[in-house]
Amino acid sequence: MSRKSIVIIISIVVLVGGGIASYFFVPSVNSWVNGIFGIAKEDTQQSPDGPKGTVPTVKANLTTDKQAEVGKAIYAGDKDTVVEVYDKAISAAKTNPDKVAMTQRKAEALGQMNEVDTAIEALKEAEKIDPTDMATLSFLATLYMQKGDYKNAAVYYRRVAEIAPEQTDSGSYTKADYISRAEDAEKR
Amino acid sequence: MSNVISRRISVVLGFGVLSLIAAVTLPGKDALAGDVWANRALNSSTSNSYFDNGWFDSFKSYHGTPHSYVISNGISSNNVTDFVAYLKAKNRSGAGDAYSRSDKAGAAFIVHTILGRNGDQANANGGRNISDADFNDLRDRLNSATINWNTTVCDSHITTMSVINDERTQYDVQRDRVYYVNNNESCESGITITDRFGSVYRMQHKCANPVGYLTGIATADFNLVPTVTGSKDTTEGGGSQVMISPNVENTGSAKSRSVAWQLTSFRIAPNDAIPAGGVNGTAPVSHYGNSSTTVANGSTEFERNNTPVGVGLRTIGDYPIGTRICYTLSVNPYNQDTTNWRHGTPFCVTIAKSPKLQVHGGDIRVGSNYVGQTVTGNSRITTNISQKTISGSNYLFGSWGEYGVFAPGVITGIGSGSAFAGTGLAISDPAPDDICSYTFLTFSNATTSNCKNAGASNYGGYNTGRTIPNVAASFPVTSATGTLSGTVNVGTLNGRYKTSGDITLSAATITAGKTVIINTYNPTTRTYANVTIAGDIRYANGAYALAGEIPQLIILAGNININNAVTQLDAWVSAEGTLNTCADVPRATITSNNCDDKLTINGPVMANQVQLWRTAGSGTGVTSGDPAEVFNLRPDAYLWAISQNAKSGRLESVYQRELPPRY
Repeated sequence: MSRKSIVIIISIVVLVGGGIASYFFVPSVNSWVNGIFGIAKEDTQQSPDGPKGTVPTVKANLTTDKQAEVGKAIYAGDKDTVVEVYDKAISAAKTNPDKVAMTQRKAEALGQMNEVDTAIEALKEAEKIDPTDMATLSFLATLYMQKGDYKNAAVYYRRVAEIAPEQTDSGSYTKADYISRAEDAEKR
Repeated sequence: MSNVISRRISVVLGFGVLSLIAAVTLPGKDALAGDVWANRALNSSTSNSYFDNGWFDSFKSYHGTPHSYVISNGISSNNVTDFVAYLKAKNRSGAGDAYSRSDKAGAAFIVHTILGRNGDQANANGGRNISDADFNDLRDRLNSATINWNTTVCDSHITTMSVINDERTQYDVQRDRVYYVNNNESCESGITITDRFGSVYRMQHKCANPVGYLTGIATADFNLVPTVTGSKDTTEGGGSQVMISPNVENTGSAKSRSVAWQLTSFRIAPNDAIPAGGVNGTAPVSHYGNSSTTVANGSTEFERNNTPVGVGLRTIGDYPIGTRICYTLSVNPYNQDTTNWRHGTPFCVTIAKSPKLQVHGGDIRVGSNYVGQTVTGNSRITTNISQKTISGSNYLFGSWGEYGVFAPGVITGIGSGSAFAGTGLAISDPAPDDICSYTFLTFSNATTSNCKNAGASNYGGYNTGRTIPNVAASFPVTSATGTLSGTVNVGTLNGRYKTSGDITLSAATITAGKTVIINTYNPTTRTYANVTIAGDIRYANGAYALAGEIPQLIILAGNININNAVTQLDAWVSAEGTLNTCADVPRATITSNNCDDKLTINGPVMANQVQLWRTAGSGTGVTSGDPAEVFNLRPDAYLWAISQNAKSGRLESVYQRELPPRY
């Protein structure tokens, strides 16, 4: 066998082996890096319905392990663990959008446990950071509705309506929808 | 040459770079694991539909209006039953129009994704047609999860929708939008389902759209542990009843599916081994053998924790002592992953006996004290009563006294006035709870004159305030004519004796005219020595011409220990310590096979504490009331006492004086 053949064979082995090795280890390495703070940036994917070539921003979330830990805590009714995990992640978040996103996740988890007041308390902190975040405002409106506090629900629906789009592609609520909701809440 | 090597190195490096690019470009293993979109929706350019694995462009581009709801009217269920029924209705509804087909596909999509299936797996399990088994599986998983039916979910991550094309014929194609991030993101009311592993399934109320990373909800797990307990593990049999309580504990996280259970009974001969429980595919009657029979069976969906099944009274027949009547429970399947039985550990009722005491010729009195002793507690009398059915009639058996029964504490079980003498007390069935109807001489401190109005706890409570007769005062050690030690044959003695320490009395017969009084009191230590009775001690049979000829033995001791082999002790027995009726067999080893000879003590019995360890009697049938011990205060004790008084208590005239009459 010529040296050239040997080099080609070795190269193929390196290519295939490297590919297989990377397949198994590259994602894990990413996980290790993200896992330091328990925060993961989800893979950024283009919306199939979005404009071609655009890459929407993806909100921060806990790592998969931490999500499972929180899920188990929710299953067990362990509110303290839920709060502890999210508070650490919020503290570790480097940007305001990440802090806001992580706070919304925390509120979502607390809502799952019917800790509505605690969830509202958390979202108020997110609102201080970004008073125009639509998710925060719509979340607060929903929670106030859940509490039966229709006055505050209407206030937040109105605020969402101010920033909601006139039309959406995906069937999400529009400005008109939120105005309608605000009016419903005000009638109660 | 160097050019060649350099070129080769370049080739290798080139491959290396390519491999790195390939690694980064290809999806990672982690990205595929557990994802219901596996192999389909890895990124936007391959974002295919869930069922058809086909690419559909933006529906807006087709007709300008999206149909993004997975189910047209969303979902508003607030419990598992409604949730499953709603999805079932949507899935089973007629697919006559495009919207119905969309709802059908949407419901199927929800079921499959909660079950953790990707598109291929969904199609392999009926596709858009969900089976009853899958709906049951869905119900079980949801029952094992923690669900908040009215919470808030945010529609980041994945959202789902039904696709529509220009011809409006493909509503039944469930389209995914992977990692879609809505720039108009909002948080809406919805449902969250959290399983025991922490996986969360989120849906919005308004559209029934699952959002987030869909990994499915864990299989409902149940783990059934069958057990049987009973009201008592020993009985005398003969128709006595035992309350059997079979129970299935579900230690899993969810209610079980319908599980077969079977309560089985079998009988084990004395000393034979009891078959253990276990897990296998063998039916209960075969597993346990021993001519097992099925007592009860059925099918039940067992909730988490404990569920009693087939509870009931069981009548135990008349079997030899040591026979065990066993009850055991089996379930099949015992968890969600098996078809095997789990057989519980049998609960066995051992046929035993309740040894009985009979006191003839006198009262039974407790709570008194010797002179110089202090009463330390509210002494009570507690014995068992047995109920048996013999030849179709019901009888009570138990310990009894011929005359009165007194105790400052509560009196339980024992009969007075010879209540259970003979072949037992014939009763109606059930047994009367009014013991006054058959135990007439049990003294009570009841607050009412009507015994029937007194609660069971009021029987007794009658303090006579009397001390135990001070027999020793009549026979002080100072009057002893001899000192005994070691093993003594009382048949050779006649008179009053003291001891130099503990003594043993061997088998003996005391002949006519002899009175033997043994007082073990030590004036120096002011304590009594112990006496062991090693053999039968009997008075010689008459006939006697005079009361004074009646032989009599009086034993005044600390502890009086009667050995296993002794069946008769003719003596006055006074123990300032303990009277033990089977002292040479360790208490923990006493069974129906030892201490099993009836002991009769003919004479007064007095003791600080009486320990009745004989196991004789209590047979089957009409012998069920046979005693283990008999304390028999016979007339010879009275006659002898009178003759003693005649000797020492007689008053003689020693002085006479005539007195004048008075007017």
